[in-house]
Amino acid sequence: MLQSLDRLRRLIVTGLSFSAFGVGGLILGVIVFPLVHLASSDRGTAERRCQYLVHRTFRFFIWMLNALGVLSYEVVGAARLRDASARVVIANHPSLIDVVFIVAMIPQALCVVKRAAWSNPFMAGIMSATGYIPNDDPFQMIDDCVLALDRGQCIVIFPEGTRTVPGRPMKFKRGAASVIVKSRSNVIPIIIQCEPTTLTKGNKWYNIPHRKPHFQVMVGDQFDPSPVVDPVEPLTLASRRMNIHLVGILSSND
Amino acid sequence: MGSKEEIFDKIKTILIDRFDIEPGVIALDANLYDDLDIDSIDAVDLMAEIKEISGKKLDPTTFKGVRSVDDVVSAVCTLMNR
Repeated sequence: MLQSLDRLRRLIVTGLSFSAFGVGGLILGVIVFPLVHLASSDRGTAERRCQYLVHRTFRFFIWMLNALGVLSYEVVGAARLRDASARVVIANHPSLIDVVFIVAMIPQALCVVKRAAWSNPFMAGIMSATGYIPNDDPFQMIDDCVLALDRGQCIVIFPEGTRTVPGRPMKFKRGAASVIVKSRSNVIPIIIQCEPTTLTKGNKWYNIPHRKPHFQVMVGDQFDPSPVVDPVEPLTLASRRMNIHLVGILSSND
Repeated sequence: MGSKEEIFDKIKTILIDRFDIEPGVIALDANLYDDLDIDSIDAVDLMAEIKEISGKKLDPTTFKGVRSVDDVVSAVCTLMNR
């Protein structure tokens, strides 16, 4: 009885939180971000300001989720991200809201996002105002990421390209590895664990777990990819080798 | 170069050298994307390699329809004998 009451309560606040997220996305994308763009002297400045506002909003959002009892979380090593620049931030992707935790730790982050977000009315405004990079054209994506890293920006990318399937070994696409090979930017790995699993691929928001999920977000040691990259090796082989390396880093639990 | 066998051998060499694919899994009926783990980035590289060996450019729309190794070999065959 008590347990089902708790579940009902969590279901209601989860629904409210999702609505708040959607409405917040609309307000930012339709009202706030266009104003930021109007008030900024150039597009780059406007995009960085919008990225910062997404960061602040996501910080508030996870604080709210925790306060409402939708989930609990702990973050280890967030300081490694606070002043990061020109870094490729990679993570496993167990749930829909992983990116919220990651961007909440990085004041200015440029995320690689699936193209569908640009046609989602709640997110489209944010996608264009922040300069986030769509993942549908791999060559354009790689070039955009390398350029942004050259300018000193932090890229957030999930190497799996989609959410992790629980209990199955991770399988990485070659996009993130290609960005790392081409830019030789330092990489910051993040390992996200969520128990019990929630918001996995194909799982609707209202299928909430039997008890409150707990997120553990661990920011790992930064690593320099240069020693792994052989400058004369073709990208097809270099990115495969890099992926073996990356899978090892994101699979280790210590 | 012109026979299907010769073209298959060339393609097989490319797949081994450029994409690090186990020789054992490369067969005519192998699916590029499911069995050989070729992705969209690799596909463009593979097209460039085909241009290198055949001296002719494969039409990107033809390549979009390509699924198996056999499809690649047939496409190159058609290209060479045109």
